[in-house]
Amino acid sequence: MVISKDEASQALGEIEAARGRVFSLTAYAYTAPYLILWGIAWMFADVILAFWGSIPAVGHWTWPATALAGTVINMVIAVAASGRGGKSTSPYRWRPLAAAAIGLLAVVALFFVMAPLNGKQVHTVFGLLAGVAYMLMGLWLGWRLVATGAAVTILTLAAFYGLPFGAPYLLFMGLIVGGGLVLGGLWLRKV
Amino acid sequence: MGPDEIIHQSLRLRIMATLNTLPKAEKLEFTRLKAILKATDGNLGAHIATLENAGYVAVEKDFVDKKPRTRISMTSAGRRAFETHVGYLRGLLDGAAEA
Repeated sequence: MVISKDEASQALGEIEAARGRVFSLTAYAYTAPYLILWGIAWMFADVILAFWGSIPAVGHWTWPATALAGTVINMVIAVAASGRGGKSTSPYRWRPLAAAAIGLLAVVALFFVMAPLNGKQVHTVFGLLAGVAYMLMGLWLGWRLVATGAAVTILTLAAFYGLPFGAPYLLFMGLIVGGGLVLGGLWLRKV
Repeated sequence: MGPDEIIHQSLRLRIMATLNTLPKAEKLEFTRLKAILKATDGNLGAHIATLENAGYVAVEKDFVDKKPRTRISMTSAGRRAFETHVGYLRGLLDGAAEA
């Protein structure tokens, strides 16, 4: 059997493509539960705020309580996933957590610098951050994450410019953007 | 050392490349492999049989909830053969191997 250099190059390309596809599918399976979790959290918090946000305690505590509960469930999912995949031995396994902490610190610092921000602006910033984060992750992990992130970003901007802050805006953000995240997660699981 | 004629066929190469990304002894369901490779049942089944006859993959059939399940894994011999074949292809491009 004789193989030319072109055939060898093509074969190595096919091997690389197969590796890339497995990497993307593994990443989709790993990421999907988090998208679904935060989509549900988003829907829950914004729908509560849309109907009962005028009650001071509800207005103040719905998102912090939802974010805290979401973080706890997020950690449970992460621990369960690491148990299935075997313990990571990478010396750099702390980096994703450190990156998330740095990102959160940067957002909090920006809010202080740009204060005072109204509720609509704060909501929009978080929506844009989520969308951009998924798009950036998608550049490495697969185009479906880029598409999900782009949809979240576009819908968030559409709500910001198209709807006044209040129940319609919160329902849109909760049901359409939060629901979009859930659908995005289900879409990733389906591959 | 020459190319591995069994592995070099396009779909078999992709089957081996996919299985090679899995941890040692991990099995992949036939339906999952079919989706990853976008292959048909018959085509994939025939090429897996060829690889199984060569001792490069192991096929395990069982039932889960009364439904048949087929899982494929790469054998140690398959992993060695795949790595040797990839080494040959790389060497060919580097000019270290004669075509």
